[in-house]
Amino acid sequence: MEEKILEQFYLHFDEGDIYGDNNISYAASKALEEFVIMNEDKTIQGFIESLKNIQAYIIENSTSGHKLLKNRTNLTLRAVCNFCYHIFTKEIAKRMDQTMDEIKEALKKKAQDLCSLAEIAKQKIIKYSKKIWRDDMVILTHGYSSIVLKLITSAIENGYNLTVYVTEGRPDNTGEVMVKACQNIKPPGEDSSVSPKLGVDVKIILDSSVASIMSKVDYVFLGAEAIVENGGIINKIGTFTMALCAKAHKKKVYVFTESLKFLNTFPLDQSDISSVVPEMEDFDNLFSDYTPPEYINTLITDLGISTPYGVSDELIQFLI
Amino acid sequence: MATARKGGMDLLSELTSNIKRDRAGGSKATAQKITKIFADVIASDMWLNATELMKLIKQMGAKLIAADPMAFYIGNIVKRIAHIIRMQSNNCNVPLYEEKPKENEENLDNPLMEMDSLNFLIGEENKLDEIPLVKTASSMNDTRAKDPAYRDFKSNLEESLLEIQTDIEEAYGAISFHCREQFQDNDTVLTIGYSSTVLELFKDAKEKSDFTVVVAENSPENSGKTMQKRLSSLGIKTILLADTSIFSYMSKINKVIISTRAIMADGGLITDAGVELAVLAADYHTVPVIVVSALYKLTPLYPFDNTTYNKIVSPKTVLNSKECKFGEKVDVIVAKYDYIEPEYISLYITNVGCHTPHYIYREFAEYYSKEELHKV
Repeated sequence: MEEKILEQFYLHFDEGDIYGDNNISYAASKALEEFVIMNEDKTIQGFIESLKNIQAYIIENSTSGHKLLKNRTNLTLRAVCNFCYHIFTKEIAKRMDQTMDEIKEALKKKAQDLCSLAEIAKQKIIKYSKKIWRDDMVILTHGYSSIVLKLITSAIENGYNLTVYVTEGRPDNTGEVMVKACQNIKPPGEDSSVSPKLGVDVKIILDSSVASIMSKVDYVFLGAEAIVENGGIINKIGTFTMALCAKAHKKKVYVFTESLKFLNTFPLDQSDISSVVPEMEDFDNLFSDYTPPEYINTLITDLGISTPYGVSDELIQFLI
Repeated sequence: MATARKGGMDLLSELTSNIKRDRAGGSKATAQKITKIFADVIASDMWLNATELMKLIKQMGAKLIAADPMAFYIGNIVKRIAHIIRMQSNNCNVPLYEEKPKENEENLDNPLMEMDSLNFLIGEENKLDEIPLVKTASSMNDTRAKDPAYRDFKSNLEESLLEIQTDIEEAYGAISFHCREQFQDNDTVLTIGYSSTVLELFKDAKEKSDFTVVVAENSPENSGKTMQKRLSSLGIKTILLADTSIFSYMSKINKVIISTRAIMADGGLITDAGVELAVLAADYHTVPVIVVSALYKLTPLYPFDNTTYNKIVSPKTVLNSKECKFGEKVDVIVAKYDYIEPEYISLYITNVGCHTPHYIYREFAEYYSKEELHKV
């Protein structure tokens, strides 16, 4: 059964845009919903055991099994599984006196709620970001991030002019995907065949040129793979460098991410995340790095806008 | 009941027009007047149930806020009262249905867009069913005459409003009390422009310690001169400083004490223009910056930069019309407010105590409800 659930996960992940539209959170919640439907445990304890097993299985086998997930970490998957586990156990605790079938119905509904939340989270983030836009902004971003792409699209559709610097994003060169996607954004009311160069002015830069480009930039927009307990973020390797340079140049760093990506760890330095982040094959570093909350100005999630210290307070109370 | 409503509305329109013309007195006096109007409304017969009361408060609040959108304390008081109403209706088990604001046409059909995501997932019940998106006839029929819960609700509300009023009245005293230990003998304290909060603070502190106050003029309005005159008449040694000399004199300053127009949701400040220069100079010389303000200035809004909440005012203070003939092609920009980032502040002192920039968001969670807190 475990392989079937994993297949379901890949299926839903492939259904969407391969680079993140119907994203990992959505695919994971759908897979876990399938699990609730397929599960045949007769006792609550048995169900919780199977839930733990299936989550451990998905987390272990998801990265190597799928060609697109190979170069990404499964942090988001961990966070969503953790969240789902807490939601399910809380729901079960409320219904201790009901039959297994009734409990499963309720859990199925909760899994569906999780799916709808994963779908709508990005739209909410865009709604909260409306006041950030200014004309002729210069933005710096790191590799490909679907939420940053959506934000840029919404800014263009609302008539703003932007310049975007995108880092290459070695070793998987996701920066090029971002550049192509940005170039495909059509500004409103323009006939693209007449003026193909309008829209967002996107430039690709080397990862190592972040510090030299920083004085030209107004803001740094980042997505995140996970938010950690002290309000910091874990994101693609190179993010911490960017945040550090931004702070030295007194530029603002905005992180856009969903609340589902909250991870229950408290890293004190870079080596503390090595338990959840794998090492790269060809190089002697991890796939992602940890950016402490001092280097982040604002975190914009589907819960709203807050400082990094504030968001962790809110999120932790849901996971106790 | 009709006359009470008429009286209340008259007062409201009078206050609104005074605010528009900037004749309502300082922020403290206006805050007191607004709280009085709302307290009267709550004590009166103008509302039959919690839903009506919330609607009435929001309507009146909207009128007041529209009079001066940059006077944040008005919105703060309205939001605080709304929070109290929500809390009390929860405590007293009084039904409260709020109309969701219709922002975008596309999002009307998905109620998730308006709701707090995580509460929806891990909240008490599945709130999706409970909140009616359209007001039903039955919700209008709850009258408070029939329900003893309403008596509790009303008296709790009146108590809370009285608390807010006392808080505002005693703000200066409470702030001075919390700030006493900040002053030592032979301290040199810098302040910028005129502020009644800071004036009361110095009045209180001079009993205990012997300090010197350096007042920066704060051009172009030069309110610093008034501050210096008042301080001298109180017997405090005062030095008047031109704005341009702040940086060079900063090495002789022990601490900077400023007041503000508003404390924003990230801990940043919206102050009069010119304060940011002094704060940056203080940062360079590692001089601590202390902000004093009453609680009603805590604003649950999020500024992203200097221009989010700012306005340009008349250039006559900088370049008047007589001089203009020679400089006809000149754009004169006089910004009214400055946005100061929370990293530059060492301590916030409000009437409830002292806070640091990292943790001031907790005060917001106490006084405002989630619905207000994360709206842009």
